[in-house]
Amino acid sequence: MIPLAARGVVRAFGGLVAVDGVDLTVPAGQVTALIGPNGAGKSTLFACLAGQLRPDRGRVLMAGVDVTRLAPDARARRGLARTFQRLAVFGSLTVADNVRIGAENAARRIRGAELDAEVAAMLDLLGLTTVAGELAATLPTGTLRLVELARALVGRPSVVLLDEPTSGLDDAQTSRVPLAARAMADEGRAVVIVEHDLPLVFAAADVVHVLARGRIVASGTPAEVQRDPALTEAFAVS
Amino acid sequence: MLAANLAFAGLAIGCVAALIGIGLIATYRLTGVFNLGFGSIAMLVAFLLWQMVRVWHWPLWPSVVLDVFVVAPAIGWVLDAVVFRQLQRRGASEAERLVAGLGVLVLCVGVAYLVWGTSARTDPPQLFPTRSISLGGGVRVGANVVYDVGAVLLATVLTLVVMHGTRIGTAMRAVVNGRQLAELSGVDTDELSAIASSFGSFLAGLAGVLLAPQLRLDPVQPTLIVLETMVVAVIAGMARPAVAVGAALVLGVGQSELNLVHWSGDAGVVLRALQSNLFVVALLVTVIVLPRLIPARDGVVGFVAPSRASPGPVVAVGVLALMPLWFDAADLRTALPVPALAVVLVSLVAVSGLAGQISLGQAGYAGLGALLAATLTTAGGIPGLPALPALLAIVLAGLLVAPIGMLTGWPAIRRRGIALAITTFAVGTVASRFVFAQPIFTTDLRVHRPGLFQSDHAFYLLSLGILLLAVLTVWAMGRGRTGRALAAIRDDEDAARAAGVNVSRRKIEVFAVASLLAGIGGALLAQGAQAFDATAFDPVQGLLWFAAVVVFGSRDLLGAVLAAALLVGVDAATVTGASATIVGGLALLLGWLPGGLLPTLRRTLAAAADGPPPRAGWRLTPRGRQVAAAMRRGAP
Repeated sequence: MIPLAARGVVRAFGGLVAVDGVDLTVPAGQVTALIGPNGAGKSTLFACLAGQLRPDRGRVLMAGVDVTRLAPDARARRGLARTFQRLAVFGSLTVADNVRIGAENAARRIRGAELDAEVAAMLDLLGLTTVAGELAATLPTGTLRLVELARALVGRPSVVLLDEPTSGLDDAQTSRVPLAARAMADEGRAVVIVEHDLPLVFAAADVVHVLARGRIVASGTPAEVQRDPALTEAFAVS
Repeated sequence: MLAANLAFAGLAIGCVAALIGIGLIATYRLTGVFNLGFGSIAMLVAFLLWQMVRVWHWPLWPSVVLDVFVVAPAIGWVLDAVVFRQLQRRGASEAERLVAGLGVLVLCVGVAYLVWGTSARTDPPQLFPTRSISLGGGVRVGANVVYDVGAVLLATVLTLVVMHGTRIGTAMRAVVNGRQLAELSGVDTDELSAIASSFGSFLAGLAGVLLAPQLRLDPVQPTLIVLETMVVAVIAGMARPAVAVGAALVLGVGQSELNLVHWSGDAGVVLRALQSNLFVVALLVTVIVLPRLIPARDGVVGFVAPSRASPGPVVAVGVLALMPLWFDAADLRTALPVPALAVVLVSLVAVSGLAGQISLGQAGYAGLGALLAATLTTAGGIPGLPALPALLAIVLAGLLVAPIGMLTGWPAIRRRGIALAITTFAVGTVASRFVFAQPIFTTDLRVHRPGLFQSDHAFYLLSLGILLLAVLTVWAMGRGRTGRALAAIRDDEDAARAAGVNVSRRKIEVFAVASLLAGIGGALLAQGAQAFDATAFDPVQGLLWFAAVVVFGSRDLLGAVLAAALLVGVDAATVTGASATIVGGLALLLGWLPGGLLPTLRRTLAAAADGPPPRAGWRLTPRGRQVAAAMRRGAP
């Protein structure tokens, strides 16, 4: 069963068609990247997949079930997790509570000691144990990115959407992103990454889709896409 | 012919509404502030003209010139310099600016109470002659209407020219979009925001002196009417003055033309209520049907990380709350409403402090609770039902208000900031105008206290017990899974949804609990006074209560209790309006009191206990605090 798919998704803003009949399949155990120039429709497609925007036409499917009309929280409870391009943490909560929210509202129904253990394990995995009791608002950007990631992953989602995950990170932190995406995919998750940093995308992704003017103009492995003239054309048009 | 005469009569109120709409739009577009205090500035300027002409016997037109062209803009200049400029400079959230506007409103109303008292003036100066002019065919129009239309046209043209046809207008809009960027481009932002604020105040003043002769002049009525007529600015999407003028004239004329419709019985009562309150009904319908007309920015209440309450203050407030039991009879009677009002304010902590939602209509829920409790304890109050025991009536009132809160909280699911503020205000105002002000609902009510709690002493104890339950309920809501979900909604609604929090359900729940508590608080207020007083649940009260809760710390339950004590105690000890003046003044200082009065006080005390503040970016560990304390004591 395909964890996430888009079928003929169209989304327009007034007269501007931002996403124009996109078909996308996101398989389990793979990192799928969406790239394209500014205004190509990446963010709009991402928002349609995450549930922030409802497509004008077409469907979004999770494990074969039509979730087009489901709100983002309902999709999250079905196993779709996401991070944001901007920092999206709950500043008035501690790091541990930020992560706990992800576990409490996840598809897997766990409670009590099991939930505590799950949160503790995720904090440990991402090296956040020492700041678990700190208010998120007091921590630096790099740490908060990890907090956001921990919140997304603690519920063991089947699909992870990463929106410009390197935004705000330094070089050392950025270099760990492909490894993290790879690790998530290796655990069987379907990972979607939207990123401007093309070398990073080509290092991390199994499949790359190139968007231009709301349409997928090239798809394939990183090597195939890099050879495809559509890639150069898409970025040249912008 | 009658229809034409009514249309011309309706133009008068339409013109004033148009002026208000233009003023709100100009202020919003040029300063970025949706100034809820606009109505109170109009009221203050109108009162000042009355003072000059009727009390000091100054000549009319020099007084108008001084009042509208000098004093009103000066008020705007001072507000900009002291309040709004600071907020804009540090990029304050829309909620903070909204509360500052609310502070202006509450402060102005408080000052008006202090200076002019509560009684209404029936002789505000009429600027233009009221004689009517014949247009032929039996159609007559008041000369004042002609002048009003002229004033509106002038104001519209002036606003459009300033906003779009001048370099100052362009620069002002640039300042709203990005103050720092505008400064880097060489724009004198302080001067521009002062000019914009002064211009908005001038329009408010003009609207105030034109409106005053058409109604009784007291601190509340003109303020409320101006707030209700903001519907025309909302219809114009806070952007198009010409649309605002059109909407104002249509509503003004429509209100007048409803005189032609005559229905009998209850339908007639509803029709008359609709006619009197057409603007507020239009406001409610607009914000529910066309919410996107209101610009949506951020806008949650609660600006800083919470400070932890220590047991000391809790015990101190508990002791203070018990003290009235040893007061003499008169003082105990004065203190009687404090716990009841505190229950209402605690409900605001739930909705605003925990969930970060702006609610300006809490007086409506409290009033409904009071009215329901009174109706349920009156034999035949609800046809076919005997009088119920008063204690049961309190509980039932709360339970019956809760679904109403859920229903009216429904619009909150998709609204934030100004949109939510206006929606909740409209709900509270409609409740006040269509229920509390209608004799059909409020006559022949007999408000009883519960049998075991007839004396003031016993009823105060009962109120305290219910307050304790309310505090514990909201405290519990702020903890555990529910508390985390509400904090997530407050901090970042999109991220909360992405984390799987059912934001819609949580918001509805919190509105339901808050309205239940407000209903119970209202029922207690009515039973304490042994009467239903519609003015106690006036929409302006809702604004004052919200401001008081935010001023004391929107997430601070102790703050809510202390705010109730201040609102009741200060007015009782001094004069009506003193507490509003204090709350309004403090609301204007919120820029210097992040999170509110009590959280600031707690942080200050904690910082004093910790010694000098650590270097930026560093926090003292518990061991570090011990070392700092030892160093202050001079220990090695």
